[in-house]
Amino acid sequence: MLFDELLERKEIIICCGSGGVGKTTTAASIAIHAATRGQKVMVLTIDPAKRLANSLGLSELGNEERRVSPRKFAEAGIDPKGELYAMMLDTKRTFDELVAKHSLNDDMRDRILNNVLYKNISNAFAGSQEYMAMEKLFEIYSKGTCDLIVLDTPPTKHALDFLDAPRRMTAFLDGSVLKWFLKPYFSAGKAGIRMFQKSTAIILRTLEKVTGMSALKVASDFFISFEGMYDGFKERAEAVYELLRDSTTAFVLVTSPEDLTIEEAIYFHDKLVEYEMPFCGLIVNKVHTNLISDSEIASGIRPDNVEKLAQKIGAALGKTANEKKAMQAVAASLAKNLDNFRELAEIDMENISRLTERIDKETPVRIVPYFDTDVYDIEGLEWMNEYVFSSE
Amino acid sequence: MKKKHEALDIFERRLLIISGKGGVGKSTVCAALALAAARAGKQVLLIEMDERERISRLFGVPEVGYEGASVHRNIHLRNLQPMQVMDEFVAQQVSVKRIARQMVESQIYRYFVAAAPGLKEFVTLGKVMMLEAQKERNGKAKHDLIILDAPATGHGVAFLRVPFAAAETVKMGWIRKQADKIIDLITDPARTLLNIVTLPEEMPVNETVEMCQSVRELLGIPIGYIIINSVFPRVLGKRETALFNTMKERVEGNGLKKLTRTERRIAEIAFDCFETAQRRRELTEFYVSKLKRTLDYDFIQIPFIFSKSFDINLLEQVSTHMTEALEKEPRRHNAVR
Repeated sequence: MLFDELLERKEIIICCGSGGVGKTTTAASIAIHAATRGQKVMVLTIDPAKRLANSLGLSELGNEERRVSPRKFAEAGIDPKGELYAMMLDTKRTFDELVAKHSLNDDMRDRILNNVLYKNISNAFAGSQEYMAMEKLFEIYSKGTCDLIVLDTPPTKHALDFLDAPRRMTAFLDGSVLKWFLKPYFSAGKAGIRMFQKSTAIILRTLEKVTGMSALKVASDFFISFEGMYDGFKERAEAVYELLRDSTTAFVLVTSPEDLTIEEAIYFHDKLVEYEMPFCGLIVNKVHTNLISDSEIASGIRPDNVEKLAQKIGAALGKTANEKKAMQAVAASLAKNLDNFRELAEIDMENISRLTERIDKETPVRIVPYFDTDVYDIEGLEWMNEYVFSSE
Repeated sequence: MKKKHEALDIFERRLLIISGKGGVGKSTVCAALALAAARAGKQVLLIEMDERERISRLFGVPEVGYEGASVHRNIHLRNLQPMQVMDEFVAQQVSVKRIARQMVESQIYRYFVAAAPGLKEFVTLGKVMMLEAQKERNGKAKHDLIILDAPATGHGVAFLRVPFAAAETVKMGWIRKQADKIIDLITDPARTLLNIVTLPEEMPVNETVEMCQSVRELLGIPIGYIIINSVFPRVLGKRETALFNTMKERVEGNGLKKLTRTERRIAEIAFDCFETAQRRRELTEFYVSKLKRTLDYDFIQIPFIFSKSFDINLLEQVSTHMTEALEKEPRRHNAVR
């Protein structure tokens, strides 16, 4: 399958991978391409660089969709047949909205929103950003107003965090075990602790010592308030999980070719397969590509004698003996530089092949070269698309 | 000699925290810094805290795990996974082994660790503090220097903020005492320096600037060096570049007509390739100067390495660069800013 076909057949494209590999840029460029072709597209980003956010017309305010004005496309010389919308995820607000939605009444909602444990969870809890990215994706998808949603994912260190987030979070919110312990503990007061087995009592005392009494109280309050909401959350998380595995969804793995990053991409890929997620493509950014094409090498343009050639170049271009010598030195530096770049290209290809070896032959793999300028506006992103959507 | 000693003053600290976003080469910098310190005669304890070990791979040794292993002369590497630190902590608190095991395996415990945000990180920092205080029988510190590869969390300083948050919320008791002790250690410029690794690229530069601001304004942890990784080298000097331009003009004026077609094509590629390198260097310079303009700290630049995936030889190379940079640019700043 080609990347072009992905745009036609899929309704959701999830760009995943480690931090610093150009996920956000890749998501934006895929969305721009789809909009240019005529689709109504939404790109949901997490933490875009300032200039990219500006290019997409995103202000500091999160969670609001903004249409990327056709003027921005016109500036890049593109007349889009479709429409592009962009949104920046606000984790806390998405979580608050989810709580409001599932609360049985205002009192319940406020009790949770004001709970310290909830505030911590919704702000900084490991996995909450991933969970909310999925939640927002589900919300936008359910509205059904877009042909295609492109999701940029949080820079998760571990693939598992990301794929498990909805489930892990709901398992945590369930807290039935914790409730079972805490309810009698608080209803019976401190004396109630005697009702437990010795080991449980030790557990509780240790936790108290470490966290302070108030943490237990806060947790207990939280889980008691949350009780009525849990089913709604759980159902929703199950639906999100099903959506991720649905055939209308495509996971596109984004990576760069450095050794350690490739190791992480391999791990990520294996997890996607293990979780039966629809892995549909690989994009490798920032690749040093070979400057001399295979066909040129085949026709005898071999770079192994560049140093000798450098001598010839200097001799041919210099007008005096001194100049010839100086130019030979410059040409030798150029030759060394060419050699360095060739080595980089070789290393990158070696690293990439460690990953591609594990990938099914049908899956499209695209190599995007290292750009020697920053890519942040629509013109630059379209330029990147030449590599992603080329038919080769 | 005196100057050299001064230059390497960061190795006279007890704890070097290395921070930075994912993908900037933080682990490589940690490993190279450890080598440099070991070369300067220090017994180094190198700590990472990761589900998937990275540093052992750089040294070309099998995973070292929680207790760690010696990975090089004078370098002991440990992987302190927070959950394992937590379990060890429980085992120390609960003296009956059977109960400790029951507790660690119980669901309520897992919930609790998950529910108390920052608890794992807190206990891990506590462990680092304990390792810092370890003494040999003769009273000498067990480790001359601890290098900590701080976890790359979404927000750069989230990990380091934990003890401050704990001290704010808990007014008394064990947690508070522990938090105060950790804060004492990490805000003491005589003992601790925070070093931030970054790349000369847009996002990493912006994030580094933001990180320095929050460290200075919110935490008061002394900053040592800003380490700029992968600084693309300049291929030609000024005079050589002028000469290159003349050469290019002459090539365009058919100056290479005596060469074969193949030779001309390779020359063309070499000329293009230089211009690519030049643009990349300019971009690098732009971001390096942006960092230097915005941040009034000391910098170490690590050159971009044109070579195979990392092994110990390359690590040695990077660490030699680092030593040279440390000797050439001794820290101007010794006080907290």
